[in-house]
Amino acid sequence: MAANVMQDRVGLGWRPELAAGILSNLDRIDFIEAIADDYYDARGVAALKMLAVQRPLALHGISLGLASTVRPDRKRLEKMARLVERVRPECWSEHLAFVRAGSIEIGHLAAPPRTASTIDATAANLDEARRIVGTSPLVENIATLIDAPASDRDEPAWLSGTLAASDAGLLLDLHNLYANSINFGLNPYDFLARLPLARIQQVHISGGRWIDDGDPQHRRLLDDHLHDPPDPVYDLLTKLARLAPQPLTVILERDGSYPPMEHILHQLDRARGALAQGRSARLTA
Amino acid sequence: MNTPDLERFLAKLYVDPAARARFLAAPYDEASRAGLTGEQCRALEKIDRIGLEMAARSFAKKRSLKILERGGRR
Amino acid sequence: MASPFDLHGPQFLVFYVALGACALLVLALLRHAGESSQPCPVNLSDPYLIAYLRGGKAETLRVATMCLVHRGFLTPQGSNLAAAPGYPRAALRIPLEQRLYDHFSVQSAATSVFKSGRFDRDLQPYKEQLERLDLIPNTIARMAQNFRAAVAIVVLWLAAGIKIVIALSLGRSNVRFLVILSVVFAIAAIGVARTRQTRRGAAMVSSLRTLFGSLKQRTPTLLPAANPDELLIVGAVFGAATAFPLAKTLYPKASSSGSCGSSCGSSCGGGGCGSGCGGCGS
Repeated sequence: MAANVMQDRVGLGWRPELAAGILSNLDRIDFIEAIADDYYDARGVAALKMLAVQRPLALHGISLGLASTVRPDRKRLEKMARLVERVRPECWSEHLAFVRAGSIEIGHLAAPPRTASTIDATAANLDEARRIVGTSPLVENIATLIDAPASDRDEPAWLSGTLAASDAGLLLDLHNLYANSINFGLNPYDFLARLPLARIQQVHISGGRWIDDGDPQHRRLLDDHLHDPPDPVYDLLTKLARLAPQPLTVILERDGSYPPMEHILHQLDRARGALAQGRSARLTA
Repeated sequence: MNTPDLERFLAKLYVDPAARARFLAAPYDEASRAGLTGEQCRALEKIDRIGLEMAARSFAKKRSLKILERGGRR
Repeated sequence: MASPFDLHGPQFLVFYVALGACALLVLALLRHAGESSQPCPVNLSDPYLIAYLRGGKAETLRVATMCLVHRGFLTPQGSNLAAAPGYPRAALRIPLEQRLYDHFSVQSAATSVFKSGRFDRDLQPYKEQLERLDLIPNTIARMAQNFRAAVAIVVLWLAAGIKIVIALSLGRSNVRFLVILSVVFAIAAIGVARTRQTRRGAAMVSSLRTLFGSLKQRTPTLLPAANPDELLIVGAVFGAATAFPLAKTLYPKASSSGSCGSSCGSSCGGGGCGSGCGGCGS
């Protein structure tokens, strides 16, 4: 199914397990996103450069921890800068999360307290990232199993405030938005509507599963990237395509439990269909 | 309200089961002992306890997988 | 002014080694200056294109034949191969594979594919595409390589030849080392000047090995029926013998090259909640 006239694109996160399928089906993949942290050595850079010539490429960082009152590690920013300079991706992105504090490595993306001080500090960190790397990253909303502690506002307000305080674009992860809405009692469509939609440049879609702590009453939706995006995520994508005035790049994330490549390509086609449906509704509105 | 000290305290809760257990038994006291402000301590009393345990388990699994990956690369 | 040809034996050998090293360096620099290593868009949907880039005609034939063996279209009988009955030729989509299947309709030695010219027209498009993309030297580039190698060899052999004549005229016959060195440097000059791939092609092969490093590590778990495309890619990128255990038996010259160093599989992402940003359930 072709992308609509607004030049939306649909692509895939690069994973080595999918390498064969991706390179064999590049004609059905508009865009590739690679995890930056995996490619800091010289051979990795050359390989990424080759990929960047085959399809537009984004670099996606996972360890800078920019949504923090602590300044990001300069060495990590410089590594990202070198990688961006050598690979020349279309853009780079990171998460609105903190990943370490002092000498403690959390090991993954943690939701910072949603406060004014976090917004100010994040804006300062993004400014520093821009100065060192040369361009601003797109910033991604994260999924969280814990309602961000010590917060004084909800997630849509905090995201909007962070974007207003910086010039970064938004990489909107629709499954994260959906999971956080389900887990913490928000309406995902209201959540979406409260965001500065014109700032959205890229979209992630992925899937997850329900988990609990032994008590089924305590179940939460985990964004594990091991499942297909559920129907509500495609519905949200259609809604976003209806509302957003600018072209969107949608990236399917899959980190494991890989189905056959044709199944993954079908997910990309489904995303194209969701976008087209939304754009069509926009035109007829 | 967010400060480096608060983030450090949260990080410790996420990675240290013993610290987490002490905190859950007496949230205000533990937060206060860590040097957090009164406002922060009161906010942490209302922490999402179910989410805290789930998040901590998820982070632990992620950390151990990263260690396995790094070991596989050597 | 002293001439290097006035140097005594061992000293002249040192001079000759330096001359040879300089010749090789000049050849390498000329090649470096004349070729770009910048990547270019390539249609990578046909792994045989990659096999041709990496190993030329012979390796492409090896990879294609072994792929057919592992998919069951060809049956090994000792060092021979025969088309397996009951496997529909129509299931083969690539002309090269179809022609290989036809070739073995009569049981033949596996190595007979190298002697037959019937595959040239299927392989020629790969060669032309790779030359167009400057991944392998085209005819003019190859002539330039040959010329540079020839000039280097002439210089080296002229120097050796003059010294040998001088030595023999002085009644000295211990020219063995010089002869050996001149042959070694000639072979090295050919190796440096004449390469299968251009710098861009070599860079592409290296990048593909990095990108497919973890696939190579999974080769023992790949099943011919379930993962034929992946095995074919491993064969194309790393060599027939890497992907197909039988390759070494049928084709003793089959390569299993391609160490990808520390980058092999370092672009991680394990089987589940690995290096991506997805969470991990309990």
